[in-house]
Amino acid sequence: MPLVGGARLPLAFIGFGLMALVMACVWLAITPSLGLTPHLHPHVVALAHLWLPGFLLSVCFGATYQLTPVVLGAPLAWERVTWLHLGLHVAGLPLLAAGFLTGRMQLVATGGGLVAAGVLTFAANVWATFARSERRDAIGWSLPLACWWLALTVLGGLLLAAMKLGLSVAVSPLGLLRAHAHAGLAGFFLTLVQGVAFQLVPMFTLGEVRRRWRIAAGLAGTQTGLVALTCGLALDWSGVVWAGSAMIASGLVFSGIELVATLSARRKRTLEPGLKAFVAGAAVVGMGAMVGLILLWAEPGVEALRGTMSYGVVVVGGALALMVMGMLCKIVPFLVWMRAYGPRVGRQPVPPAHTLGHPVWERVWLGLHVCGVVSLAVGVLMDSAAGVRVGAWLLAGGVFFFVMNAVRIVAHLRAKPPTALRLVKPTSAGTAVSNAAG
Amino acid sequence: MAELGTILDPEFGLSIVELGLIYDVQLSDAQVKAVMTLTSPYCPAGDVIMGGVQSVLERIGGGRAVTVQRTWEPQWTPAMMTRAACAELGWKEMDEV
Repeated sequence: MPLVGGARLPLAFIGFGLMALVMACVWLAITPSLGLTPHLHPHVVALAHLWLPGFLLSVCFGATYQLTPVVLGAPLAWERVTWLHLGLHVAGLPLLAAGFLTGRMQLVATGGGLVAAGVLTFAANVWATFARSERRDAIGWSLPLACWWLALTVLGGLLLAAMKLGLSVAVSPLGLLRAHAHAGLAGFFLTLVQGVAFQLVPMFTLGEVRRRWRIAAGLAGTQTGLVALTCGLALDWSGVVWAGSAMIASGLVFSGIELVATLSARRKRTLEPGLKAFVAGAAVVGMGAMVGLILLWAEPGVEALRGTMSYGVVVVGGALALMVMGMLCKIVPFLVWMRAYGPRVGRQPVPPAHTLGHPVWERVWLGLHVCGVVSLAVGVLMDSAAGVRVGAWLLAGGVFFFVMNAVRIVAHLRAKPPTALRLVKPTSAGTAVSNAAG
Repeated sequence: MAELGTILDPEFGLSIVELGLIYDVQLSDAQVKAVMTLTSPYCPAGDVIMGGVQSVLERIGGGRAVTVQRTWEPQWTPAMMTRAACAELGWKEMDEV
């Protein structure tokens, strides 16, 4: 499967995402009081958008554009449109964050509109590719489903912005905000991970999926639960919210069991730091789901607010960031290797992809990141400024090593330009015969 | 085979010969034909690895026509790896694989 945009497009999205991550971490390290500020404060909302659509979503865009053809076994439907998406996202995200930071909702609507337009092109691209492919198992379905939730997330966000600007809708803004957050966090990121992880983990560990029905059951549980959860949150139906959360938790149990089984069947015994981070993030997802259920019973008040913010730190910084950054430790070297060294295979010695990065830096990042998230979450929960400050600096330190490692990997692109790549063209289903040598 | 052994799987850093991906290489007066597989039908580096095999065979083929055929029969399993490759991946006993 050829590289989408010659690998430049996925790497550009990933690079943009890492810039947003650096900005978010530096901002929090310089202003740790943000960690103790209520989550509806404009600055906290701006920080959350640097982390979520800024970092995690940008990275997922890049990775998904490259993975979609691999997972679905069909070329991306509209490859050129991906560059338009990159432009919309890069233009819209800074406006969105700046709008929240300054409290200018028109700027939020403009930036959000650009980001949303990009998201819709992304979703349409994945849906069209899915329609052209023949893969219809749970792993294949996870991609269009994740895009569906993402589209709903940005449309919900735009509706919130419009309500702030005066549009009257018979829905509580707070309920819609919660539905927006959960559709993005659980709907997009979780759905994506629940499917694609079972493609990537066996590939990176020489393992195999043990029971495919467990992947389908996990996805079905979370999808059903998400419908109930988002509707319940938007319409303030607490019973439906509880039922939806329970269904999501049950779906995660199936996915978790299958992930453990898949990892147990791996032939590559040693897990690299990236895969360790992914597994740790997945474990935190499970714990986060349990904590989320407990928070449903919490009486409203200051403690519940701190608990919710601490929960957000754990879910975003602990679960999602660890899983996404862990996979980046594998995906970025692979993309760079394919572009820099792929054309030289068989013509000259080339290094393996996993040697492009620095395993020690990856371990240092992982250690600092985990300690930082724990300290930050405890600091927020205990209302401890010192805990938040230490956590923010540890997190920033970890990100420094992560980014340095990424720069080291990407520097391999400066290697001597490769000669024209000669690929084998498939000529019939199941087999492929290359061109005869001249 | 020794020449093909210089091609490494990018993910694991193991020779494609030691991984057991090369099923057959036939040399005749007119052509060189290799039959190979990949660890997974979804292997994203599949085309690059096959392109590498093509390049190696062209280099050593002495002007013969080169054909690289991908097959999924039999499907690759870890049991096809050499003992050295298993050891590289952290296995002490072949039976465990």
